Amino acid sequence: MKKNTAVFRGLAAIMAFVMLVSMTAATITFQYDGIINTYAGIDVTRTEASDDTVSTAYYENEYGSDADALVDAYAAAADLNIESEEEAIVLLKNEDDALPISSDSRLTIFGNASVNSSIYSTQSPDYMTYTSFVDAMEDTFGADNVNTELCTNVYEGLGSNSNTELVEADIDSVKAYESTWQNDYNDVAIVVLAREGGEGNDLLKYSTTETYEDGSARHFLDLSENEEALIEYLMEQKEAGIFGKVVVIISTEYQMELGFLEEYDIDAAIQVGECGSYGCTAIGEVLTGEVNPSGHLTDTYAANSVSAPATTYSNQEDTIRWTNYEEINEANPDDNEANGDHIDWYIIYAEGIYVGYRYYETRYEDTVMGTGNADSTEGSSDGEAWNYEEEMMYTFGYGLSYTTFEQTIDSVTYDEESDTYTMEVTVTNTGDVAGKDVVEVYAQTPYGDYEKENLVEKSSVQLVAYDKTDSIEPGASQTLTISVSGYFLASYDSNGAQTYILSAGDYYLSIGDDAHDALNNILAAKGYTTADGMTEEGDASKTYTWTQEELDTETYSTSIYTDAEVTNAFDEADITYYGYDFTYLSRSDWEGTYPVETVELEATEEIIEGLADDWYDPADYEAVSVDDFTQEADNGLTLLDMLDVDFDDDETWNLFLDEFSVTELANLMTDSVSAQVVADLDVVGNARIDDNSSGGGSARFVSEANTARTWNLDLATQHGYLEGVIAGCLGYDEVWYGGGDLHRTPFGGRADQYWSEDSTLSYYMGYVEAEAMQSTGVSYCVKHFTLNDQETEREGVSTFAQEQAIREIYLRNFEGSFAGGALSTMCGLNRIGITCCAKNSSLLTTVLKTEWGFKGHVTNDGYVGLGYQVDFLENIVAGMDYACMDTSGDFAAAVVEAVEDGDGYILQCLRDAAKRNLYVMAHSVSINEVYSGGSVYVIVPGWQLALMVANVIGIAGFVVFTVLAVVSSRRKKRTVKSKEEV
Amino acid sequence: MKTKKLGLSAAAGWACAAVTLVDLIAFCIYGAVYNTYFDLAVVIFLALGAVCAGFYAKIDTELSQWANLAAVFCDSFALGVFFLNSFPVWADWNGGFTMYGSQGGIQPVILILVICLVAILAGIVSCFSRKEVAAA
Repeated sequence: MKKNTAVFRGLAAIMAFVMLVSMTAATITFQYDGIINTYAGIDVTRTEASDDTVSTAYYENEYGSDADALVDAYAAAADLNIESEEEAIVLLKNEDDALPISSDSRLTIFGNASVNSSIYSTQSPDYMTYTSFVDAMEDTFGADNVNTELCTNVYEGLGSNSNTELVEADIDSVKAYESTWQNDYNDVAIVVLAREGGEGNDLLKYSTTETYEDGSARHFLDLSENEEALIEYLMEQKEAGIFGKVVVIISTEYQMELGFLEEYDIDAAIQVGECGSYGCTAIGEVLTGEVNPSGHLTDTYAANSVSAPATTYSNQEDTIRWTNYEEINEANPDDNEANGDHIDWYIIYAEGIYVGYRYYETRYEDTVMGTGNADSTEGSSDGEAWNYEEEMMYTFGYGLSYTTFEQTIDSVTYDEESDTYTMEVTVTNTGDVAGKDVVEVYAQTPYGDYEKENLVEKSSVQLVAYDKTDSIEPGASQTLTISVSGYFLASYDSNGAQTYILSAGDYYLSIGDDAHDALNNILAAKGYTTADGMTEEGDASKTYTWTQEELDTETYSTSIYTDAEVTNAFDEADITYYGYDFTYLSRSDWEGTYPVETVELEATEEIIEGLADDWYDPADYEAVSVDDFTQEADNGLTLLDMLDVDFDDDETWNLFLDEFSVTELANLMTDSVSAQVVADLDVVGNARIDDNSSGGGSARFVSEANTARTWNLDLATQHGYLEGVIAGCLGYDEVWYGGGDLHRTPFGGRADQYWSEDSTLSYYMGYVEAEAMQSTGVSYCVKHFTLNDQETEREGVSTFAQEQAIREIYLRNFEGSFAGGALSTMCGLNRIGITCCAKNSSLLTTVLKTEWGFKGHVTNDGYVGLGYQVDFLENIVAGMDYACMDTSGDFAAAVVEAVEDGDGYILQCLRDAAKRNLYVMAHSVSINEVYSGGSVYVIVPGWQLALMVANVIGIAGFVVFTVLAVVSSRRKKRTVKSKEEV
Repeated sequence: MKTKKLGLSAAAGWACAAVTLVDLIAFCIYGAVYNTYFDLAVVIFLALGAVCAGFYAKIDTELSQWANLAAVFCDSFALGVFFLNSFPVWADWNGGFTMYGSQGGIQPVILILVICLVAILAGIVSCFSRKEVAAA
């Protein structure tokens, strides 16, 4: 072979490789181009100005929308990050006023989490470097005053905790550097402890590697062996006079067992949560007293993390497989295909409404009153009679301060027209330093014979309103006016009235330092004292009471938002619906109903069939013909004309929808801007991003849980606003947010993204955040709607719960966001009962769109083209409007095919979905592009062009060099033959 | 009498054949354990790649001189299809969750891809070099 031939052959080989690799890359990347373009911040549309272009925008904010605006917004976000953390930090313990400490203190940092944890985020713009915990300590106390030997030599490179493994340096590694603090840096020992979770990663309940002395598995949220050794070592050092003080910093969104704070001689402790990119600065401010901590807990910190009834069915250890799961798989092969076996699993919310403090405080009241077998051993952590003080460490609403406050109720008035109780509370600073205080208003509603007969459960206390003061100087006061909605006093009765009721009997409103304090005040008003077993005397003057004479089944039988009838919609979510003999927890008999352990169930035929998900049959729905609708009409309307058209103006909206082709309507359901654009109609497309605008390189805010711990709705408002401004500047008009699911147990992996265990706290947080973000023209997409409170088997787990719990706890957690104007929501991947959230018409149509009057659009969570996600007709019939991450248009294609086959009902559903998608689009910042007179065109991004070119070059190169090699080879043969003939 | 002196090209061809065979075996094991990811196209093209590379290295005919190019083509195609099929594994690994329902983790995928790349590289080297034929 000639040399040239070999060269050409080699080049052909390289081109073959390039050709095939680029074709592979193109196949994948073109399918996900929408997501790639979004996360890379690549524009897929181009706006061309016309002669009539003006400079005004439909949506404007104080920052603007250009690169300078982004810089200003980032700066404001950094300030808000710090300010939020300042108010989120919860002072848990402060023995003998150990805190604040002097800024001249010389201290040593302990704990792997000081370096390797989510206490800080490294996500930040290049020009605004994040602040690590060590940075913050050095900035606060001076680098020369902070001993970071362990951070540098032991913790660096150690790795962080995961949801299944705890990483802390062994004590010998720590002691190796003992000499650095024996004679210096020993004013204060700062110990940082953390726990980590995340998407897809629930925490374990029990360690798989460590045990207690009795051989039982160590609780994962208790101190690990190395953490315990560290604390014990520091106690020895303190006792030996080496360290003056030991201060513990807890950075976790998962409620650790904090009994060690009392067990050991620890001087002070603060809970700081996840502080974001700059929030660690606030830790230094609080430690030195520059800021007086004012955060309050928004979750229960039980002494035993697995003592709550909700933990019985939860996370990877106690999510249960149907005993006949093989039958399920056989009946549903598609759902099981390539999407794991999530369809095999179920959990039961056996605790009902008794989640978090609602369980502990209610059982406490019943032990005081001697009712409901509350002091039985069932559910007791030590096997003895259930005792609140043994079970509780820090209750919901708890939080200390460097000063003291006194709160008094000045007045309570009721306005029938607005159905609002207005409470005036005066807060007086009775201490020595300025500070902020939180007014927590709790309610107790009657639990009488009717409720017991009809299984309407009542929590002894439930948060119904709250507010936070400004900074109050010592001796000064501030009066807050707090509104309590009567709606929050109603209970859902799924058995008797089958709607919301106002029970007959005595009602109490109470204020207190926390949920327990408020309940003690109510108990005092009822005449109970410590002689009855109360943990301390209550203050009846901090309560307001009235009596409802008759049961009221009418007032809340219609929605407070739309006047639509409110009645049972989730009967099929209750496990007993399927004939099982199952008892949910009831305060009428704690002993007999406590969910001691999980039950393994065999799926019934109805369940097996119901899990199939492909239930759509046109014959079951309204007989509608495709010919009943007009498409591709020319009615002279564009999206701009629809900006101020009321959502309920069906006539005008139908005229606009008539102008689209079926394909164009369906393309609005894809998650790709370029697919959605209809230039002639000024349809600009929706560009969406995940929470915290992480795709745009912005900094990270404090966790949602930390925002909640501020109890400051002004800060939450600013958060929603800035999040919207930043997203808008980055070219997005919708943020797939967090917030909505519940901290049902301490183990839920995404607790950092959700506010709290309490639905009222979440209601108001969601309300103000949504309202603020929507005002910027960016849609607030609250997720994951709903009952997606754990990560384990989330892609299809059947979640069973009673309707009362669903409505009062889990739906209420989202309800505020919608009441505040959120125009988007993302369904959970899980099932409510056996019906996927994204195919659940009770959830999406009955409650969300009919009862609550939601005008926005609904998406699924993360379309990956597998399993039950491809039952598209069921999605659209149930009320889903677009498919997150479906950039290739599978949803659209399935719907178009059904319409082309003559399914008029699907076309009707499609038009409904398109209307919502267009309504959201018309109320988004993207409308600015055409509002000012420009025209929108779709462009092919550079990377896609480059891939196409690589494909062409690869194919052409392969062909050309192969041909050249063949020609060269034949030419050589002719030469050889000629020579032979000569 | 003609004798053949097998140089770099044939040696690289043999290497390509051997490594492709190893990759084929690895993929078959992987596919047997996680049958979701078993794809007959990958098996066929890896097998063809190994056969073509071996054919090139062993046989010296007019046809066989193009067999190593065919081997690179087959191996590249198999690599592409395998990568496409393994996308859920990459997506779950990148996201740190199980949303895509992947099985087995990223390590076996990377191993199979790397082995295939080595085979392709050997095939390309083989294509650039010539088999020497010396007349006795």
